[in-house]
Amino acid sequence: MTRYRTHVESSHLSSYRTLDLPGLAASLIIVASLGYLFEFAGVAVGVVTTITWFALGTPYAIAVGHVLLATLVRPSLTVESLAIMEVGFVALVLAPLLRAPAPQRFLLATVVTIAIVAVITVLALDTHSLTLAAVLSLGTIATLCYAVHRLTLVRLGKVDSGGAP
Amino acid sequence: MRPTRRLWAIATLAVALALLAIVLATPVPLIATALIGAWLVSQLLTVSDAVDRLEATLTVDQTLDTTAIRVGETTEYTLSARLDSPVPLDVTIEPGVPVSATMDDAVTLSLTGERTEVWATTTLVWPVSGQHRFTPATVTVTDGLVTETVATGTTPTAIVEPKGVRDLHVGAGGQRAIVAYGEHTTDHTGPGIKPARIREYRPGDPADWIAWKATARLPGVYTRDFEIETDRETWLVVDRRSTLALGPPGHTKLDHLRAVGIGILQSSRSSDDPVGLLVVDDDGIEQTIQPSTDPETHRTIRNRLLTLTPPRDVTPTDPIARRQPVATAEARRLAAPLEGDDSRFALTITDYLGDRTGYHRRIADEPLYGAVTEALARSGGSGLVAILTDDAALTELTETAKRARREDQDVLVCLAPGVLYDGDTDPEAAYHDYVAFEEHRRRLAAMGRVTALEVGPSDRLGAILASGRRSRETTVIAT
Repeated sequence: MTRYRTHVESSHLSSYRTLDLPGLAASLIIVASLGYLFEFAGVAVGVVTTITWFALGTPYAIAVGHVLLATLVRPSLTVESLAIMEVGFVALVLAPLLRAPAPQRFLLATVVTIAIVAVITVLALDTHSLTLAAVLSLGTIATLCYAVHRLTLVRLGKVDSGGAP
Repeated sequence: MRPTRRLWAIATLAVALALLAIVLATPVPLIATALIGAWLVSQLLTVSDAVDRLEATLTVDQTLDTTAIRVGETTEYTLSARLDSPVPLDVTIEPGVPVSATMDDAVTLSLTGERTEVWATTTLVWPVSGQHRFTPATVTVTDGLVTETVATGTTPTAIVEPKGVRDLHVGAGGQRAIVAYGEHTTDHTGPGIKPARIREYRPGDPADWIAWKATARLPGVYTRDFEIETDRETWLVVDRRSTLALGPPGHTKLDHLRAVGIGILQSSRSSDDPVGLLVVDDDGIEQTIQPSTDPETHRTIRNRLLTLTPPRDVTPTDPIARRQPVATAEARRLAAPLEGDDSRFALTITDYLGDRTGYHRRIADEPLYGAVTEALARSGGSGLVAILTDDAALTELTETAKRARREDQDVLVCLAPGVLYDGDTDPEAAYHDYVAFEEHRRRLAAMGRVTALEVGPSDRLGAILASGRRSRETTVIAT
């Protein structure tokens, strides 16, 4: 028969399963910013996005929100309006990082990632090729993910340092 | 890092949004792809950092309540894990139990949420003898997106001895013997550590040998001699021929001799002596391991001893398998009544018994004699030859011992007499067989530099000796 024993640090129990306040704040920003841009329809998209975030998590909330926005956005949308539209979604991406042990590092990594993908997308859109922009965006994301994977392997000592054969 | 189904689902979502952007000819869904990608990268970075911290702060221990076990016995196995601080990952720890051990219940530890310490104890059964080293515990961490595996923790070694030799008797004439085996002096003096005697200074003696206190007390200059201590090279010559299979399973001659062999090996290891192994089977030398003080060599010899079994395809009592040539003294005794007899039979027998060249050739062809000769040829000088065999080939054994001592070797003969292993023999007849064996053993032990010991189950020996005592008492009363 197997006997199990466990020990739980009581000092950490109070913070366990607390509400994700940064995520909730980001959702409110989404509702407000979309309401400001698209009025009642924007508020409705913001609410649906918030519900999806609560039920399924950040990636699905971003996806649902943008698919609904695609029906509302006109081709004449200015850069300022685009920035207001996305500020809430960027906050949603950055929200979990506030709980990370070294938030500045991850904040920087995320912002740099968003910037790289945005720059590549804008450059590709300048050539009026949405397909090229999509391929370059996906390729950049895949490369960055693989880089993190390799970094982890190096940190864990699972790859050679590349010494002489 | 291995992706989970959740990660693949999110990646598919990002690709679908990019395709939607192309189909709808609007960049809005592509912005979502970029944001999801950024979220994914930041999550992977968080996990990478957490795994790195986990490896630094996680302590995994695998412990056994005892590491010396006999086949079939059980041990308490404890797997414990401790984190210095909680990590935002689900951590599962699986034990590195050797495949040769059977677990009562599967053990898997889990460190989730705020849990920082966990342990579990279960019972392991060891059905196979040998040395079994645990592998590091497998720690699997996941955040739901990716999983990573790390091997960590202590790796104890369980030494599983074959069962059945608890009642081991090693001795002479029914009395237990204590065989001293430790530091060995050479009876010579010279440079060393242990002071031996004071003597007068001789030209050429180094200045640091001068015994200043003795020189001050006595007229003249005196120096101190030291005992020279040496490493004793030991050859373990183990006989695993068919007759060594005699005895109940787990209690055969070979099982008992194996225990003695392991004892000699342990003693030599504690004395840091080089030990080599020669395994002899019915065809000759089966395996040779050169003497060495290297722990790896000791481990190899130990493992070989633990896995030794007699051949299965030969009947242990087959007389043809172990027919022996006749020794010189015995030949002379047998030939004496035939002196002056001119019959064809007598002439043939006399010719056979007188053929000493043939005798030596036949002996030289015997596996045990050949093995010891080879060991002596490789030996670097005086040492110890420990022969572990039975009494089925006493002539060969005697000649082998003679050969070894001629080469300046001490000889330790550990004999497993057949009478101690054949439980079907009538106790009174067994006593007579034991007495006959004891005569042979004494003859062997009477040879210079030879120590001959009997090895067997003490309960059977006790029963035989008790039967002998009863028989003698009955005879005394009757007369």
